[in-house]
Amino acid sequence: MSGPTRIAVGYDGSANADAALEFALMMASSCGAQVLVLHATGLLERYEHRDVTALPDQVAKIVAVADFPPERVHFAFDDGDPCTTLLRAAELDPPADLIIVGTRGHATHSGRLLGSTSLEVAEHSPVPVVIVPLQERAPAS
Amino acid sequence: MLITHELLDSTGHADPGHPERPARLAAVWEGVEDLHLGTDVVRVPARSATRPELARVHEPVYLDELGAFCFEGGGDLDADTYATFDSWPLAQLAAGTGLAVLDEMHRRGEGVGFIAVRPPGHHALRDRAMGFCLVNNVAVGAAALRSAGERVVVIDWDVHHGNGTQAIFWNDPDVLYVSAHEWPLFPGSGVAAEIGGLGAIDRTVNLPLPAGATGDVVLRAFEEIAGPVIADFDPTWTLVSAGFDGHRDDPMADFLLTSGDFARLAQWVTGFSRPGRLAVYLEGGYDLEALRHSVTGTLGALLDASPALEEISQGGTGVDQVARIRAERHATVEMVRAQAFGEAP
Repeated sequence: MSGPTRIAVGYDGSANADAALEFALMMASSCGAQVLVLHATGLLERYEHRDVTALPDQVAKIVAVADFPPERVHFAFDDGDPCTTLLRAAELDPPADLIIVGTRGHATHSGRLLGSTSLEVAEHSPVPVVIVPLQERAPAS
Repeated sequence: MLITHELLDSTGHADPGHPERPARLAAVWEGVEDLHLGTDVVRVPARSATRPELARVHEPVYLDELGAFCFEGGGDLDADTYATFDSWPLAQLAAGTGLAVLDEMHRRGEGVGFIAVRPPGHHALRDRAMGFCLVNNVAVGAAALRSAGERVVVIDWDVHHGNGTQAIFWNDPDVLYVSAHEWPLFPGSGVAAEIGGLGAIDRTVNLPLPAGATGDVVLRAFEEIAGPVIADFDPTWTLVSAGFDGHRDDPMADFLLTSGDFARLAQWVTGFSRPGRLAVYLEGGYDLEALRHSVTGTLGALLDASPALEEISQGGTGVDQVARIRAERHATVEMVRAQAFGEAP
């Protein structure tokens, strides 16, 4: 069984999303995979005119610190909730064959399935899912 | 005659600063009062949906989780969707009250149904809350009619695609789902090539239109693309997922519709609906004045009233998209039929 070739990672700019991205870059480094960084554009983000223009730069900085080839990273805004957009990545052409997500983003939840993007993704995903807790940041290169 | 329900106190489902708020219902009822219907309004008692009624469209484990989540005080279900301690009983009440209105319409055999409840429903999936929605109210209604042997068309003119309703009936040949919506936009689904599952090919009609679309464009897409499919389907009931966030003043999206446009859409719906078999469910709509006037326009058209409305909107973007959508749908339907059943395209 070969390793993943295309890793999708959810990114909302939170500290936990940073940790998930760092872990994705570490995995991609070890297996030569591409990394698709997805930001879900929800209803409230539009309603509240949230400024998310800095997110690609935030991602680029993390990629640079990880010394990962930037040409293997693609950032995309995708309409939907985080769970849906990540699951949709596994249906793209070519599909993501691994999904990485932080244990929690900006949303709060009680730890149960409902309200947890990471657990919802894990339950529904057709491809393997890695859930990265905040303290599990990738080791510095 | 308008067949609706007693006013619901939905103040227990609220989150400070959130656009899906209790004041929406007050605006809706002001829109109804603007029609001065007098005694032509029947209000049935509200009731909660039963577990079997909800379980027609939702996974029981989801219902259990949602109930427990609310009982523990609620919180954020995703970046957009919240629940409070009161949200679960209110969601059951919203879905059940819709059924009460449909029951009354069935008993009378006349009138136009209007279900003004919240939280809204059309984004709610079988096993997941989404997009401000907890329980899919219109799907609960359609499933109840479906179980009684009816053929149901759901017309969704909310500016967002009703991904939950589409998914729930994706493989059901007796429910036709038709949606005109802004695209690209949340929830990201609803492209023309989504035409239904193998068990219900051509029973989903998506009309994705660009920002800047006006009423004439939306109506043309409905008439020219969905019209023939609906005629072929020959529905016995029509349910409308009436979101009013496509209004030009709504902050949630960029369609340019007016209250006059919603009246024209409603008139189009009456053209294929059977008497006494048309009910309107409230979905989105977040600018309170636009919501009020759009409700007046919609119900006024359905009840042959003539309220003062905003001028219809014309000449917006998307006219050129209509032919493309029709061609893409047609090609997809033919291809899927050929692949699935060996029918020659």
